[in-house]
Order: sequence, then structure tokens, then C-alpha cells
Amino acid sequence: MFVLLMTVAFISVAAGSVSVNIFAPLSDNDSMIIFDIRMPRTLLAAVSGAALAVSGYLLQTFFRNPIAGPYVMGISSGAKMTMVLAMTFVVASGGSMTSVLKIIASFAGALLSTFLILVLSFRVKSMSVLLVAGIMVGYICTAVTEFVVTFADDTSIISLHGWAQGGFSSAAFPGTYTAVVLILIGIAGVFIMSKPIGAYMQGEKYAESLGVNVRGLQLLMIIFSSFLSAVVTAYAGPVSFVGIAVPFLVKKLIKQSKPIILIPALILAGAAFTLFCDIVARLMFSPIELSLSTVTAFFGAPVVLFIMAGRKRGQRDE
Amino acid sequence: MLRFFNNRRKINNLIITWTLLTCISLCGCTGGGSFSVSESENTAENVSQDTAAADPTEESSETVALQVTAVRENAAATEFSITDYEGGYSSVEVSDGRKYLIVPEGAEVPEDTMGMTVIKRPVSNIYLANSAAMCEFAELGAVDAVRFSGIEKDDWTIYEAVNAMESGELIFCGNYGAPDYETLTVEGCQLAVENTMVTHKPEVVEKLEGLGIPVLIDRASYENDPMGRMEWIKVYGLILGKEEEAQTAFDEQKAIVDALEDYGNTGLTVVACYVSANGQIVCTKGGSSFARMTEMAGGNYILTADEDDDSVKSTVKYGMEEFMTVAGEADFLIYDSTIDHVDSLDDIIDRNAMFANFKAFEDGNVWIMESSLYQNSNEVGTIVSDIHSMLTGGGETVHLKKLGDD
Repeated sequence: MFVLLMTVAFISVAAGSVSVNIFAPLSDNDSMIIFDIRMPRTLLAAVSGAALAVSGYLLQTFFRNPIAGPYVMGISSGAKMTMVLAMTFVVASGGSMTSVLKIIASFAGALLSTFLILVLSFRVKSMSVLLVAGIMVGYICTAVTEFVVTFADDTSIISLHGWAQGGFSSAAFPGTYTAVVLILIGIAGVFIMSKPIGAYMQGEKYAESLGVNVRGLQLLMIIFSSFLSAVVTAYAGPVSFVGIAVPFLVKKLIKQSKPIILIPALILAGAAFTLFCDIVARLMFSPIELSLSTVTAFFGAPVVLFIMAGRKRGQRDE
Repeated sequence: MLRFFNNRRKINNLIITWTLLTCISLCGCTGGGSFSVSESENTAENVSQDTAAADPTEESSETVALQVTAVRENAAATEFSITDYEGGYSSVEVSDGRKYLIVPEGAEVPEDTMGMTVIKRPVSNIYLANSAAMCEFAELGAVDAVRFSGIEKDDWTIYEAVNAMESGELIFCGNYGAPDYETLTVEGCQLAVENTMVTHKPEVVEKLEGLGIPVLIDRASYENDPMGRMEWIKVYGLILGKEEEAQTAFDEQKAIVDALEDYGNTGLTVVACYVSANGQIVCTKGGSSFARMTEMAGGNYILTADEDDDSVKSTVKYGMEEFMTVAGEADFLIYDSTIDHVDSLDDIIDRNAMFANFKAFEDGNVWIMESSLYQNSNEVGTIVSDIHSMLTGGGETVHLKKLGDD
């Protein structure tokens, strides 16, 4: 999986709308293309994919349901809601959106959704009910978004639609460095929790018998999952399917459920998958760039369906 | 490790520590945002200064200081101002706070540019994401200065742009939200002209400036006065070294508008609208640029300007019931066929049968906009003349067509 990631990363840096021979001495323009355009984009796509994969894994473990993911649970919807609020009111008053404001708006929305889910988690004991509640939170955020869009001008609507498709086209240092640091902090936190997560996966009673504070662990899983997806949403907009498809795929491929092995695999696979989708999005119809969510759904959804069909067939045979 | 998670206090400490770490990192995020903007402005200057420094034909620089000689007075525009300096330098200050120093051909870039983004003449290889400005480039005979388009060939209605795309002199280079940075870099884009849509995508502006490409955000759409919108041709004239041509074009259109002043008000009312995909009636607002043009033509726009409305939107949405109330008695109805294409009265009635009850329909005074007004902002006078012809029933029209005369 590491080799796959390195291969895809190499292609991401080497290939683009302009032909650059990376094995030859680079001119000033070529250097700018490689180091200022392709590399920040490659790095951001890779760490974002890793973050989304780990985030999806945490949610799927928490809810014990393979369809749980940051997109499904309303975290992306919350980010979109606060983003449209910011866009509509700031720009309608003649002001300008700044990158910092966009990041803060996305973050705030994602964490707001997380807070609502957390509040619900203290009251709702059933995981399946909590999953539905999370989906409802997403619907509420979407309804608020649509309500605000009704009064927004056409340019804001178009821009919001573009943002909501997700993408890494304007990735640049040092913003990318900040995203990398934040995501690494989040992933490090998840890594620290890998043993208790492993115990939790065996059952809550089993985990409690080993001395795990199950409620505390659940709280941290939600927080870290939301944090990781909030960072990605802030820098790249909502990116769908990576959080659902990659954990599913990795578990099937490596046939391991130990978090200490699974988490690194998810990081590598999430990074590779997102990088691959980003390459397709920017090169397939260059200079027109496809929306990232379109590509991730195009590749991710059939994979999930295929695996589910295989799983159902296996269960029926049993 | 498992005992750690048995201890609630330690969990709380972990959360607090992690939150603090995150906040510290976010401070880097905040610094990074502003850092990249200021850094990119300096980069744009440095690109220009390095270019000047690298030119062996230029003399080694003496300090060039900017001394103001005049501040030009605009006839109608409020979103920009032009200041002239000694030595033929000029600056454009836009209402969003961005300032551009236009350096004449062959002149030195001043050591102290006072924080302005430097644009050195002659300018070529322009990336034009603001398609509304192409008409002005065409008017100035400077379409060849534009190398990169933000829209595709089929989306252009200006034939100079269509021809240039067909010949390959003008290439599509990604839209405003996702330009092809690589092509812009390798082909040496010297200026990106964006419209206010890019204010929703500040990261694009930062990225372009980080690559050394100055960004001019055209705020003509924020001008209340239609002649103010057209007056932006002077900005492009200054940048392209075609100031005389820009002044001539502006004066010609102004003369058309001035000639209509003597006719006075006809007392007739006009409404402009189209039907959106979800069935709402999207109507041009009172006080908008088109409403002002109607008044300049001797008509009255049916909707009045709302004094309390600070929004920069130029349209308002209605359900048909309310729209009939506010606009059903308008003498003339102009349907925006460039957004929602219609060829006949039946097409409009198909959108909503209630249109048949409008006074304009009953009187046979339904017109359509045949050409995109936003791509013809250099023809304010012609458009006002068209509206006047519509109101008075005389004269050929260029951008408007009457339905039902076939």
C-alpha cells in the first residue's frame, strides 16, 4: 500500500496540464509548477484522504455500522451551512471572503454538528438510533442551508455550489502545512487510542472489563473523527465517499481488524485513493476540472456496492 | 494504556492538551492566510522588479519616487479612481482597497511602490476570467492582449473572442474558481482580470498572486450608474496604453445618452424578468443598473428602489401571484432570453400561463433581450437607445427584439 501511495504521489507530481520533465534540470517555470502548484496539492490531497479514511473508520467503529461517515453524519452539512451563512452575509454587505474566514466558518459548522451529535449521544443509548439522529442533524443543516440560499444572490449560489463539490485546486503553502500539522495531530491522537479501540470493537462489556472508560473513549472517537473531517472540509470543501469507501475496502483487503494495523493501512489507502481521484479530477478533461466529490463517488460507490454484494452473497451461501 | 482511559481526569487532561495544541496550530493557520496574501503581493512586485532589473537595456536605477500630479475625476464611476504621477506613472485604486501601479513601457519600477501591485506596460497574456470585460478589450482593439479565457468558446457572444478562440490565439484556461495554474505559469500570464465572483474564492486570488500573477478584480458590476459601469473601460485603457481610445469610446456612448435627455419622461413603465428553473420569477430590482438605464431612456422601471436595501443583488425573486401584483400593469415586459431562451410569446406563456394576463402581453409590448447585456457593457448608450426606441415605437434596436410581430 505504501508502494501504491508513492506511485500515485509520483504521478501526481509528474503529470499535469503542462508537460514537465522532472528528471531534467528544471527551469524557473518548471520549478514553480512542481513546487508551488503540484506539490502542495499532492500533499494536501494525500493527508486529506488519510484524515477522511481515519475519520470514517472511527465513526464506523463507534456506530458499528459501515455506512457511518463524516458526510452521512452531517459534519460536512454543518460546515456547508456555516459556509453559506458566511458567504451570504459577508459578500451581500459588500465585503470579501478571506481564506481564513472560510476555514473558520467550515470549522465552526463541522464542530457544531459534532456538538449536536455528542449531546444526542449522551441521551440516546442505541447506536442505530444515534446514527439516524446524526443523519437528521445533517438534514437540519441542509434545510438551514437551503433556506439561506433562497435569499442569496446568484453569484453566491454558484460559488457555494462550486465549493460544495470539494477540491484541492488552490492548495498552496503555507496553508497546506497548517492542514498537515492539524491532521497529523488528529491522527496521532487516534493512534494513541488504537488499543482501547481494539478492546471496544470486541464489545463494550469486554472493553469495560479491561478497564476502558467506554463513554470517554466514545467521546474521544467522535471528537477526533469530527476534527479530522472538519479540517479537510475547511481546506478542501466537503469530500464525499472517502470516509465510507476506504475503511470498507481496506478491511476487506487486509482482513485485519486490529486498529494498530488497520489505522496505518487506512492512512496509506485513504491518501492513495484521494490522490488518485484528484489526478483524475484535474487531468481527465483538463483544463476543465471535475469536482472531487464526483470522482470519489464515481469510484467509491461501485466499490462499496461490489463489496456489499459479495458480502451478501457470502452470507447467503452460509 | 487501557487504565488511562479508565481515569476520567486523565481523559479530560488529554482533551485539554489536544485542544491547546490545535489552537496553537490554528494560530499558524491564521498567520498563514494573511502571510500568503502579503507575501504574494511582494512576489508580484518582485516579479516586476526582477524583470526590470534583469533587462540589460535599462539604466541602473536611480530612486524613482512617486509624485502625484493629478487625481482624475470620473464622470460616473465610484468604484475606482485613477491618480497620475510624474514620469507618466498612474495608479488605479479600487474600492475594495486594492491598488495597482501602472508603470509605463520602458520606465523603472519605483523603489517605493507604496504597497501597490505593479503592472508593467505593455501587458499581454492576460487571463480574462471576467468575461464581461471582453467587450471593452474588443472596443479598444486589444483582444490580442488576452491569451487566456475563463469561459469556453460556446459561451462567448462577442465575435472577436469567438474568432480568437477558433484561431487558437485565445485558449480556455479554466474558470474563475479553478484556473489552470500550470498553463498560466508556463505561458507567462502577466495579469489576471477577475470579476467579483472571485471574492468567494480568496484562495484563488492568493494562489495567483503567489505565482507572481497580479490580480485585478473588476468591480464594474457594483456601479450604480450604468455609465459608471462603462467607465471601467478607462481602467483597461490605462493598463493597455489605449487611454485615448477608451476616452473616445466612453464619450461616444455618453453622447447617445445625453441626446436622449431632452425627450423627457414618457410615463411608460417597464419590467424585466425571466422564469427560473424552479418556476420563480426572477425580476430585475428597482435601482439596479438596468432600471437606471430605463430611466435614462425616458421610461420608469416598475419596481422602485428600496432605500433600506444594501444588498448588491440586482435581482429579486417572486412567486407569480406577487409578481402579478407588482408588475402586472407594466406597459412593457422585457424577458431575458439570454438566461432562459424563448423565441415566442407562447414560450413565455408555457413558462407560466399567468403571463397572458399581463398588460404588456395584452397590448403586444413583450420584448426579449437578444444579447447578453453583461457581455455588452461597453454599449450602455446603445442599450439605452434601444429601450428608448422600444418606448417610443421608433427606430431599430440592436439588443432588444419585439415578440409577436412575426
